[in-house]
Amino acid sequence: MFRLPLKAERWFSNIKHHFSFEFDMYYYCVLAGLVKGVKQLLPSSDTKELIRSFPQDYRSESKIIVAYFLTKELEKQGISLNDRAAVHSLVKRYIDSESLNAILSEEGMRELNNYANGGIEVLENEFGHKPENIETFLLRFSKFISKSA
Amino acid sequence: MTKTTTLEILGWSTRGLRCPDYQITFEKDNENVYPVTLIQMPNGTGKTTTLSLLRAALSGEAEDWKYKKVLSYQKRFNPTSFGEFNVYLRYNGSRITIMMYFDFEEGKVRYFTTTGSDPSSFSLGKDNGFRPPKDCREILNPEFINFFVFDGELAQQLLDPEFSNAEKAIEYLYQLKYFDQIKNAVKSYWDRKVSSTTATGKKGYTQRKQKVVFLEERLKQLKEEKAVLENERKIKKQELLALKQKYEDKLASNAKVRQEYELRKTALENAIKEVNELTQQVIKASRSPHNLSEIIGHSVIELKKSMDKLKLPESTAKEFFMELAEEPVCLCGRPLEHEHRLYIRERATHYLGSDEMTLLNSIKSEITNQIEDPSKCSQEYQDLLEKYNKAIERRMSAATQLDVLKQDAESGDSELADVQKRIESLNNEIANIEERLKIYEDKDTELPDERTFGISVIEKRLEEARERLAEITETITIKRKTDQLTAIIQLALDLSKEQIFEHIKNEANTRISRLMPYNHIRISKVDRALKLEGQEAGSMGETLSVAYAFMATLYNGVERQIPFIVDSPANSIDNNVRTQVAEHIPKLSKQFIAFTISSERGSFVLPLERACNGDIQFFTVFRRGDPSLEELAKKFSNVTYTEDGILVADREFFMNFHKESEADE
Repeated sequence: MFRLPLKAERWFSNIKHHFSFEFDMYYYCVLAGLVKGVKQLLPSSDTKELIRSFPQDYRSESKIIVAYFLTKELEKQGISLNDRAAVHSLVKRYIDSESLNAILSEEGMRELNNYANGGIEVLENEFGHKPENIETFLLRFSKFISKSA
Repeated sequence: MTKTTTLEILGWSTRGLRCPDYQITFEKDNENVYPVTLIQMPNGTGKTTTLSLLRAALSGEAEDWKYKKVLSYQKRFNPTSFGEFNVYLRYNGSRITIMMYFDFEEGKVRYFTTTGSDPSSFSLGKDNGFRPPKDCREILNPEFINFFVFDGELAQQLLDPEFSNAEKAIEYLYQLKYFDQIKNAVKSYWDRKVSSTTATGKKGYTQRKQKVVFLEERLKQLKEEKAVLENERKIKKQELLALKQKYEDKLASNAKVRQEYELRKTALENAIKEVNELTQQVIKASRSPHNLSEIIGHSVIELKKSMDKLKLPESTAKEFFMELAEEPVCLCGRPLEHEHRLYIRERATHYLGSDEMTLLNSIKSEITNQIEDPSKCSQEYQDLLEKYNKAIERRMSAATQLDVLKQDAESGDSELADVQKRIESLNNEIANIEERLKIYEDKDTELPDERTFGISVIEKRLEEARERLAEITETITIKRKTDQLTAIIQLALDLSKEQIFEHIKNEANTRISRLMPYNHIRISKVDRALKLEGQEAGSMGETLSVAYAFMATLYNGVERQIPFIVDSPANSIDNNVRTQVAEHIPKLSKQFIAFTISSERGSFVLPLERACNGDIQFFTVFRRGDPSLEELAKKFSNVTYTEDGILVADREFFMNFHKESEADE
């Protein structure tokens, strides 16, 4: 289950009506967490259940997101891309075909959620305050990812 | 078989009120009403007043009106000490008359209701109140009435959850209230069980009971406080909207700036639309991480290349080894012993299953398909951002140009400046209320009950307190059962709502696509308000078309036929959409009554007349005092004169009527 940090819901409150899915908020948090490599474990009371699998509109993007997540995890765990056994083991731990849309195993999902938890902290630090309008957010966010990746 | 509920408006009459005295009937014969009626009333004649009176008459809301509000309905010239507004209805074949009696000395409105009999049987000595037949109440309630006595100019309210409550209207129409009634019955049952328990002597009972009572009271109080603030905000927003309209009308009546104002306003509307569309494009594009950064694209490609090099996924799946472990002999021909099987099974877990292999391959092929050239993806996204930035600048410049024009106009018109001042002040007041409302969403769980304002926090504490009370009163089993039953009822309600909302959304979207075949605006969600796909609001014409489509879906069901009364049905709509809307109006409901002004006739009335095969009534109502209009009226036969008004029931008069100076109401 994808879980959104409650803090993120508050942080996006001025602009969330522009998003078609709550998952968009989650995605922006995840991406911020991934580029900065920041993860945070939060108690479930500080997060809320979002959705079991990637929304339909993320069908093709979901695989790129998962691939980027695997890349960052390999990097974080110091696994060389030439180390077949280690790469194989990590991929095996994090992906799951049971639900094709989810793509991630329970463990993989948990780790991605941790990036979302870390990501909202990253966004708070980067922006200083919650975004007032969608245009500023999109432009600043794009710039931030571009310079931080 | 479902019985069809039919409500028709047979007519109304008004006397001694702010609008001119007049009586109007929509009856074609004893059994039928005209499917379409147009009532042309120039601004200042009392369109808005009549609409408010209709809403009040149909909902009974005027019983609670304050002195000042009642007085606002008194005639400005030659006021009398009383006034009345009667509305004549037919509900499932039975006649109902609702009379509102305005006592301007006392500042009160009294209702009288007759059903199936002659309206002259009213006894003014006895206040019999607002008493329409019981089964009619599902339609005649304030929440629902706003959806069929509808102000076309305020169509965008349907998109604003603070104004409209589409959810409530649907709940009334589809009788979903019964779910809540069942839930209340279940709760009452448990309350009775707890209060009749013999646990009085048990330690802690009183405290636990008091805690539940305290939390129930606290929750009630917080919800009431919140509702008061929300209502205050709603009233202020309505005032704000009316003032904005007044400001627009005043500005439009200034011949010097009118044309330039329209140009700048249109430029701003177009710029806003462009930014909104681009916002959605950017959101969509930003969902691909490699668009935001070339480096992300390269790193993902690198992962794919490494997997290819490492031969991941491998060509043999886990299932192969698991099956092998079941065989009597190995591939090499040697017999497999128990320890061999264990070893093969253990090693098999190091391989991916065939499904995982497929998944990994699909990830790899998606990388190839989507990120052929990372720099190209990133450049295209940057180009989109550049376009977005320019559109934002254009919007800012258009807004500034409009502001400059407004400021110029305000400097030469103190009344206009005052309206603008009030608009700004209202905006601040609304922002202030919104700030105060935030406290009820607070999630802080640390504070004591009496200092906690977060409604959801108190709800959770109440649930826990009830649980503890159930423990001590040994009604825990009943508590669990009632909880379970309540959860089932809630689930049934949620599922019903979900399916009904989805059905209404799809039906309305089909209608929208017929109304505007070349426009992609669609409803994405029906909730408290209507949510449009990927945008906050459409143009006025789009919004109105969406509103019509939504309401037609509500009214055109097999279970009910309800009239549709609209103020300014074609105002603010482009001519081409006007014609399409006109052609669809006869399909909206069995009875359509619209208040119009002369400027709305173009591209609207003739197509409407054609669409309903000429089965249409034309009325023109105006105040006495304009000699040329009075002279013109004399040439027609279907004319009714009252003390301060003239009603002409004639198509030709309707078509040629034009009042140059339409004052504000």
